[in-house]
Amino acid sequence: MDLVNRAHTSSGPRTPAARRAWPRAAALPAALALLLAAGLLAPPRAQATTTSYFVTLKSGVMTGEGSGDTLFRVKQAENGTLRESREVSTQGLELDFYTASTDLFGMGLALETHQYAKSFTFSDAAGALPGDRVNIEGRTLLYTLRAYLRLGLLLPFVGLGSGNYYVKYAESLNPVSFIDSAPQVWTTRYGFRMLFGRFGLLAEQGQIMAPLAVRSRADRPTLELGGRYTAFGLSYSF
Amino acid sequence: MLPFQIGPRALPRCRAIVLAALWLALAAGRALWAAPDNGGLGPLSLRNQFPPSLGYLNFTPEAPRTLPAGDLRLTYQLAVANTFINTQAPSKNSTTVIDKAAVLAGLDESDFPAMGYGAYIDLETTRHAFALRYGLFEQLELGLDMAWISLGGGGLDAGIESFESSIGALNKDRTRVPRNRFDFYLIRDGKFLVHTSRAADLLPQDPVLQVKWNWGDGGDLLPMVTLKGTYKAPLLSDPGSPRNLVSSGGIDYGYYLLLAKRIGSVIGHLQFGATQLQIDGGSFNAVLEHKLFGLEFRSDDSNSWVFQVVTQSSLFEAADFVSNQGDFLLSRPTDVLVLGHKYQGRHGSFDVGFAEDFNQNQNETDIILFVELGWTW
Repeated sequence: MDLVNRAHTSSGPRTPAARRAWPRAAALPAALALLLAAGLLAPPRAQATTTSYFVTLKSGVMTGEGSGDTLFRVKQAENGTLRESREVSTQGLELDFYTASTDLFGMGLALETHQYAKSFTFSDAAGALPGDRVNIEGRTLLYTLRAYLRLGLLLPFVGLGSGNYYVKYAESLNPVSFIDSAPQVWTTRYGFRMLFGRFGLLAEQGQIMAPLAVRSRADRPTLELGGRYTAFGLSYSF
Repeated sequence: MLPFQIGPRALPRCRAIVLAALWLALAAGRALWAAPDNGGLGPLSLRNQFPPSLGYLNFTPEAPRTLPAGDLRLTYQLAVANTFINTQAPSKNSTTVIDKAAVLAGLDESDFPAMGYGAYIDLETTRHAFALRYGLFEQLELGLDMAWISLGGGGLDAGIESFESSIGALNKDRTRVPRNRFDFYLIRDGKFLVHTSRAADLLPQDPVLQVKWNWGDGGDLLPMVTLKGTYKAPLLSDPGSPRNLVSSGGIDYGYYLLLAKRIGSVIGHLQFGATQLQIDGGSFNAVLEHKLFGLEFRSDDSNSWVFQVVTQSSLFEAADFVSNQGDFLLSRPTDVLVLGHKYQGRHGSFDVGFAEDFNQNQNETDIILFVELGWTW
């Protein structure tokens, strides 16, 4: 947002960095606006047949925030500043069962799996704190019930679900590694599907709440395996 | 001035509530006049068969639909479960090692860690379960479960090792101990909770009473919602050996929410709840949390193929990971994948399937094979 504002409001000539950033920052809202317009202008009946199955390849980002994620605060106090972003990139596969209940409403059941792996480095520029590296590999199986609106080619939805979230966790300074799973997992979703014949686009956002107590430490800080989740995908229906 | 503050941390929760409210509002509008068959035939009704948990009440997945008023159903289920747990296996980097020689020589407290849990469980259980259900009112059902369990060495070890080898997932710890033996050793802080290598036949479990209330069949958007309560009453408060292998002598109870939603020819099942256990001496967790997600594929009105994942918190209490690796492995939540087929005729029913511990946790059965026959009057 900051880059967009700078590019539009600057009175002088735009810097090369701003010129490079502008198309990237504006691409998403422009694409969403185009999709929305196409959906609203499309014929009133959705192209999705009475019962459809969607297979979707997804790519997204997850913030890792929420549910009192305290591990990274504790690690920064002990091992210095976190050098990377807390966000993780995810790749996933989703299978949806969708049925049209009426001309206006539809229901769906989504079964999705996605995974990520990232190393986080903690270091203190002053050298007073010992640095450390934490490797986190997350893998999940989520299932959500989704309510759709059928607006022509556009199928906006909201969803609520649960699932299982597994993690492989490792620290380097005091070598420790374990595999564990979050005891409580909940997820909310909102987004839309855009259908073009059998192919389609998916854009969604939501919250994945999967807090895990890191039991390798005596103070048992919380590691949020989920967070705010934003994803885009390409689907095929049959 | 608001009586509460909405900070950045509260936003995700607020968003979740708003979304849930929106979904319910959408659902309520349609659910009032539309009622598809959301219930289906239900998930596969198989309870946890992990040997240390057999004495306690546990969650049994069940169809959310209740019997019509006046109907009576009797089912018989035969389930064979194979379990192998060795917290002191060479692969676990434990301080003491239990191998073939140690097992044949007989195990004692010194084979296990002095602190925390330790287990060597190599056995097969055969559970004969009878379940009686009666439709008291149109949406209220009463139930009684009785089961008898035989514990022994069994004969599935070779087949399981062969199957695991064929898919490249052989548990090598299995090959380092004798096959088809019955050994049940569970220890905590240097004292045995269970220690026996003597098989036992047809030990009666404590009876379980249950009530199931179908709150609503749902609609086009709203799922079928059913509440279930269960209560385990001990036949004997101090069952003695060997009956104490399958009866805790305590009063347990559970409460569960069963949801089902039909999407085309697929029915999604979501069931969750908790079981409160009467634990003497604080040897195990007193509360177990359960969750089931299942997909039921209806091939016709009488037949369904079912895939379900059942997750529950561990019976074992969590301990400090650094002090005892074995405790950590034992106290992780368990996951079981259950696959099977259900048939429901006009009067008779037949289920068949198997369950597999796909996470290879140290607190779950390896595999369960089961069949169930039922008749409705």
